[in-house]
Amino acid sequence: VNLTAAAGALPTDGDARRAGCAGPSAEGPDDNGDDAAVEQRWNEAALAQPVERAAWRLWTYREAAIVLGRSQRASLGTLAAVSPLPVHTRSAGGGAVLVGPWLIGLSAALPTAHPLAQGGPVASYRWLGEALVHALNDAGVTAAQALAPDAVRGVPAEPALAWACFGGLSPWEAVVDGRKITGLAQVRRRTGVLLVAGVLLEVPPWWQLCAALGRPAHEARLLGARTTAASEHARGDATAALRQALPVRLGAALLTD
Amino acid sequence: MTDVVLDPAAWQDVDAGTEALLDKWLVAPGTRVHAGQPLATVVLVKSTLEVAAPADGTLAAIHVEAGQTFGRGQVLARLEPAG
Repeated sequence: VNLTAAAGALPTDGDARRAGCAGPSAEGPDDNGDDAAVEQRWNEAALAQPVERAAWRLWTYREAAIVLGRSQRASLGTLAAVSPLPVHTRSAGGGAVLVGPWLIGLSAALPTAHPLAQGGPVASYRWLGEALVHALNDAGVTAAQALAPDAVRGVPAEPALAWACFGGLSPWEAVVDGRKITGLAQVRRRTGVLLVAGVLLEVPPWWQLCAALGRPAHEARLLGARTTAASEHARGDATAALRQALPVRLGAALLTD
Repeated sequence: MTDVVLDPAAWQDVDAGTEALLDKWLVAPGTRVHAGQPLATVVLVKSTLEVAAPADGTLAAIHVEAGQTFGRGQVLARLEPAG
């Protein structure tokens, strides 16, 4: 199995010291194009043993799939069992994510003693959220900004969308003109800290997520109204630009600390 | 008895009214545990965190069941100290 091809991962995986190192192995059975399965396996492998050095990886997805937050496995698991899309549960918290060609994913594993792992979950979100915003800015999404906890507090929540990652805002997630464009989550164990993120490249087919999870159609419209994507703001090929910018910004963040 | 709580560092910069979710207990009451051993997983601000045993001992009682939410500093369980 060609892991890079099977994972749909970009050729820019790396660790803080040497570009090209992909971190833990994600090798497994044939995934039939389900790149989200490979991603979740990589994430699990990352914390299965103590993390010795920072490693990160970007993910692209050839096909649509749903990734549930850890605490959703009971409440949505039954619906997910009859979903027409592959459904996975991540170790991290948060709401359901519809992955597909419209999204770029990121995993970053840090040793517990790493400076960027100190200070609790919100502090860890900060450096990653800001690195993602720098990359978005580089890619031409100049109005993207990561929201500090105080700013998030001022954004009215939409309770009906509490089940969806992109339906709500948490500290240091990024918005453009008030509409969410990045989502963050993490896992903290004795073995290390795993941060995960998603950046919307194109507008997702929110109806597909709602239909698969038995949510009413109007919630897809709500999701559309509360989110945006890089392609709506950048001139030219935002996806290509982000693919170039993300490794630079992530590498810089990990190297400088 | 020793209180089992979520590491206060986890609550840093978290809004005062925010609650965490007790996701899963990893050990049952009556189980002997050692200091630092993960006893439970919780979810706070989209982060899955481990609750570690503060000392060697026996998990005597669970005060927050899986599926329940809890606030900053709330006692999740109590340990009977070893020895």
